Amino acid sequence: MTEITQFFIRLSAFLGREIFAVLRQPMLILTLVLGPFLILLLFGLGFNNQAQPLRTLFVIDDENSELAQNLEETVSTLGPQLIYEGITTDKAKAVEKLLRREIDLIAEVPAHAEELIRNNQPAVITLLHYEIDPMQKDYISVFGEVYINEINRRVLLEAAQQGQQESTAVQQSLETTKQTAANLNQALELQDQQRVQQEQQVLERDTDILIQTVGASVGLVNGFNQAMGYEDNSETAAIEDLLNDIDQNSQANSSEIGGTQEVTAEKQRLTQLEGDLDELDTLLQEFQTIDPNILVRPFRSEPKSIVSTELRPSDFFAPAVIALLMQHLAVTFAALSVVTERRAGTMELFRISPISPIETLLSKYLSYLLLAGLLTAVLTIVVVYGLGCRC
Amino acid sequence: MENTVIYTQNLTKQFGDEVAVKEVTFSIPSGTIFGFIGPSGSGKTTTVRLLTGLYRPTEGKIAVLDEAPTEFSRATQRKIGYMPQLFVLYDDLSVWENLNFVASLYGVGFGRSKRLKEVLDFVELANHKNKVVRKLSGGMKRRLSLAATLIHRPTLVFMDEPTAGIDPVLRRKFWDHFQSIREQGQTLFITTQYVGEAAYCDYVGILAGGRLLMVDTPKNLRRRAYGGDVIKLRTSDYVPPQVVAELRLLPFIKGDVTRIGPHTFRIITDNASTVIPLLIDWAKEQQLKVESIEEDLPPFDDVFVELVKDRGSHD
Repeated sequence: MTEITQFFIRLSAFLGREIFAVLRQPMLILTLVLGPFLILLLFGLGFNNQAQPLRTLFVIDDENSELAQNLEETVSTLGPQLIYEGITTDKAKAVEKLLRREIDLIAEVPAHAEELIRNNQPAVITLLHYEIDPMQKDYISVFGEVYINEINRRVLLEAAQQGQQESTAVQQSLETTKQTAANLNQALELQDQQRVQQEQQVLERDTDILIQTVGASVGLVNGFNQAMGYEDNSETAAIEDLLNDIDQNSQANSSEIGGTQEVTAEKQRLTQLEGDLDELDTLLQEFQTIDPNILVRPFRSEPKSIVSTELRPSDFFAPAVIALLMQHLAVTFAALSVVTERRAGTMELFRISPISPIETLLSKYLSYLLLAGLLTAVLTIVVVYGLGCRC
Repeated sequence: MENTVIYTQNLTKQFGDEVAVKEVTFSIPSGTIFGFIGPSGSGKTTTVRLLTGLYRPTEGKIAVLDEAPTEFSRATQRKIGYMPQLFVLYDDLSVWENLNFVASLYGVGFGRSKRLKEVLDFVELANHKNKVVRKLSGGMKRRLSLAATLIHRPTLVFMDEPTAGIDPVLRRKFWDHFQSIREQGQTLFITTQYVGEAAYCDYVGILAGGRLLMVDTPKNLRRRAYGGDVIKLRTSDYVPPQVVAELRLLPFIKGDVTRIGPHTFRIITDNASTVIPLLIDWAKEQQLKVESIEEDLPPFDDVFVELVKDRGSHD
């Protein structure tokens, strides 16, 4: 018999031995498989991938302040993850409640938030928690960020709505200017020198007001564009050009209008002005039709996977759990086997026989590989058909 | 010695300051049963472990099948069988599975069923081959150990107290097995603390306190213990002291004459078979009625005590 054949015969020694030995100890398999499996199952049951609502108590210096009066209404509508637990001015008592786990979070609102903002400083809301779980700590950080973003969004929304309301005033100013231009046109038709001069003065005043009001808005829009990194200012440039044209066309060519040629030139100027005002009107109407929600939050993300399979966390982690169990089993069985054989004295038999220590280990691990393969198949069936995982 | 399979010279093993085996020298011819006898803690197991390569000697030389045990080649390992003092096979496997396992360790070919049956028949376990070992009696486990030791047809077998803790009937059976193995040409190195088992050996080494007191055949050991063959003479009448003194002066009486009872004597001679007829003639001359005369074979326990006592007085 060749040495190679002998090698394979020696390797086969433990294949049968280890598999029979393990299969004949159902309690051992049960302990080693079911034990860790149950622990992992409990761990899995403890894992909640749903956002946990946080019972939040607000600490505020002045219970009677305007902020305190509106707080409940504001925070109660922020989202389902915030459970409003009231307002207190006593921080120490709030901390005691937190330590007794009667609440999950203390939101400490700064005493004079409005003043801080006016002084160009952020108003920091401190979130106190009693968590050591890093996941939960991260969750609270994200929770704080999301809810503060929501509050900031509401502030911006209000500002945007006010802006749109102000643009209604611009609209009125525009209508007035258009009416004045029409009046001037009529005075020119009648060649009423005095009225022309009066209407011209009114027109210049109205266009000044219009230019100032719209110019401020255009400045705001330009600032917004810059903040967002847009290089294309063609839209606002068009408005600015229009305003320049309106400014020029609102000025009379001469202080007195006598001849037909002058009247015709003035009329042309007014026609040009009316056209510009109509164009500005169209642009302002477009601005007013933008939803303030879009204005304050123009972008939102929508993740889409190009993977065709949709997996739940349990589907994703189940194979890893099985792999973890298998490596735990293989290592435990091998260690148990070696320790038992050492204690029983069987190792002496191996040392005297032709099997080498490397062959012994190789043979043992081969048998556990087979055994682990078998158990993996069984566990996969249990996980797929018993727990409904899609591995 | 011709065909020496085991040879040691000044073999010494120390564990820290404790000397387990000291300057042991012996050699064993092939095809014999060598009994290594000594009380518990005398160094028998340590010697077996040195001879099988489980321990490295502190000093001295060992050659087993012409190789140093710690450097046995695979071919030599295949020629050696080892039966440890305790049962080391697997309780959760059946008799057949355990034997199959050991056969694989030694590289016995896959068509081994015939050999397995043969060995199981030899140790009378064929009817229990499917029994799980944990359900076997102590004696059956011993027999399974013996079967596992012999499964690969070793030429040299080491057995560490194979008969310890088993009943006398089974012990006798074991020695029958050992003799049958020896008859097949195999060499057996057997340790035991049952001194009486020396009678079944071809050579006996007596070990005490880690030292090998002597190595000889059982017959020679007996002679060495008492100084020659022992004859027990029993007369019907009282033998007066002057007659005993005459007996001591007879030319064929080489050793001591001891009165061990009122009518009984132990007489040490060179050769019991030639001296017995001469003693009968002498008794007739002395008009002594001989009730019985025979070669006395004292139990080896007594022999062992005599030898150890004698060696102790020398030391």
